[in-house]
Amino acid sequence: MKNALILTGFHPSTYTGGIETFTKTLIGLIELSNRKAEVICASEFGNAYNLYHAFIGQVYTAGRSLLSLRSGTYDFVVANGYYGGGYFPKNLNTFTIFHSTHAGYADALKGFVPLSTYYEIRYVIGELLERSSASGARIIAVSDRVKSELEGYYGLGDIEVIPNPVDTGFFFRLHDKEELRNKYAVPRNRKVGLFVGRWEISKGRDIIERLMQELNDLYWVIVTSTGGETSPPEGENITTLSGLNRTQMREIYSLSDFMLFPSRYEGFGLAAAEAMASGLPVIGAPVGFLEGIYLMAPFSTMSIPIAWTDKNGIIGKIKDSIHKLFSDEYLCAEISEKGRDIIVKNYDAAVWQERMKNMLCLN
Amino acid sequence: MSELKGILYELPDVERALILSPHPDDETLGCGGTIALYSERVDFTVIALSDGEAVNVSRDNKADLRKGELEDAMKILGVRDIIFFHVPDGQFRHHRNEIREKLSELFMLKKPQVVFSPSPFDVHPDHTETALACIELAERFPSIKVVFYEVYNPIRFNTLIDIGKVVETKKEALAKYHYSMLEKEDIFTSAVLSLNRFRSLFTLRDSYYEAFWVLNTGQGLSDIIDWFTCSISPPSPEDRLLSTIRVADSLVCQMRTAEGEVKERDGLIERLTSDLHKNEETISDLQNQIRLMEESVFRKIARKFHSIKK
Repeated sequence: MKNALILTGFHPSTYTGGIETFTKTLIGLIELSNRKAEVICASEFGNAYNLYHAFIGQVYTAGRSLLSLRSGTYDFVVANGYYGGGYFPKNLNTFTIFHSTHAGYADALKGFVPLSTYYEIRYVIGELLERSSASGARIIAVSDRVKSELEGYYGLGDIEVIPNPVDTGFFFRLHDKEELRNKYAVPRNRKVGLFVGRWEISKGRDIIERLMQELNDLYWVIVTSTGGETSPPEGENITTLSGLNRTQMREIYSLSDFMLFPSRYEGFGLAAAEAMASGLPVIGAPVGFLEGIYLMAPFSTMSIPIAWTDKNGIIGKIKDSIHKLFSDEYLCAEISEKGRDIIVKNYDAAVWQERMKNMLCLN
Repeated sequence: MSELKGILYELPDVERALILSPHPDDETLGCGGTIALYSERVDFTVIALSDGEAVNVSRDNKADLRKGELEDAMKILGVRDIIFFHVPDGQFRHHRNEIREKLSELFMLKKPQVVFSPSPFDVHPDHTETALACIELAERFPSIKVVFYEVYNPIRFNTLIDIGKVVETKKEALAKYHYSMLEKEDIFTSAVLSLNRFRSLFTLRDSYYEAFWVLNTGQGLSDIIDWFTCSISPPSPEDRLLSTIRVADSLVCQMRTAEGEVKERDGLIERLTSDLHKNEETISDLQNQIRLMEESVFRKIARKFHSIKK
């Protein structure tokens, strides 16, 4: 039995981002085919080439450590986006999965971060590491958006789109809402807005902070994943949670009334997809897979502009969407039901498994 | 210099040789002395690939003029056989197949033992194209030795031919190229002879030398690149990436430092501006107090008292 190798940034057991969730699912799929999946994480390497940005140095060091790998060592190698930078496959079947592009991410953040950060994300991580990670590999993008960015920014071609998987058999609406609210000490009689993600500008934390000040009648549940810029605010109308497992996440989706997803950039937007699978209406920006969702009725009423400049307009639009949602039970139910249907039909784990198995030749 | 140990001072012992000249004059610039030196015992055929009609001089019939100049120069060097391919001057890259086909036919017909060509590392694109065609054909005609000569760029060589005895003949032949050398044949001649003279640095003899690289049978383009670049192998993709990342990483770091300094200075400017405003307020307060004092009754009485006293 040969093994597969996954080259990634952080170990999926210690980090809770979308890529780590994906990596866990991928490991499961590989193991189903009677192979062992070894994971190599950049975070476990040193900055052997003494780059100023230590993590970029770690990524390059990790990739370069695989230079001596030759055909036959592994059945195949999977690199997660730029974490494959510095690894140039030599006769080894390699797949690079792009969950986003850092060029696109940088452009979404332009003006919100110092210029040095913009250049670092755009060019060092994007143009250099990301582009090199695609070298000699079959390329997979997790959304049409990411595909078009890979083509547009890096001139890459022959890209297969395989959307991220959502375990719709696991993520569904639990019906004991009151009990769940008791469990997490969330008031039973309040309307609850949910935010899931890193607490940072790219995810639209500034938008949520402002809404928290302006909408006193709402209660917020903030679930942060590791790696945010700062801590979320504390207050009597806020419950902040972190490091939740998927069972807890399912409960959180089910106890909330809506998810707010004002992200400025997403490759796919897994949290929003899980929320929709759980029947939760998502008020959000057309990023990642939501770009296509918000083109359709009734979801278009929940779409807000991407928060690049006009913050006031966005706040107004969010308030408007919240009002529509709470004042029209029929609309709320329709969004909840159709949202889950779309996720089941297009992004279910079984669909992903089949496509991924074909791609990786696991059959 | 270890390089000198392998240098040859004679051409291979041959009877028939082709000289590929992309434009009339290249053959004389690069190997006019050698042709003159060997023309008695070697049957040279000069192939002018183009007529040189793109030369930048204000004359009609430029092709005819240059062809005539070539014929005159070859008479001096002792070459009787001249063939014109009439490939458009400056357009060799668009006529690759045609050049290869014509050369191939000629190789079969003339059965040369040596073919002279400009080196592939020459700034003139027609010269490079000629060399590349020659390298490619050498694979199909392995009995033919390819010899690269210098025109616009000095090359790394393995053969030096002492042309001291015939340098005047070379000068005489070069002098025939009035229009080919843009009506500045003196400058061309002096430049090319300086290069020939420069090669005496390697022999430490008071003479002139034409430098060549005689290709070994079976040497392909990668060997040629390796030779001309003195075996400096290009960095691997991972090393190239690393060096680019290092540069970008350093630039970002410098930029971040500069941003920090700007931020610090902005803070200082803000503090100083705030101090300035406070000081301006203090001055304004003091001025108000002075004005009030000026307007006070006591001040008026004091002023009156002083005026009466005077």
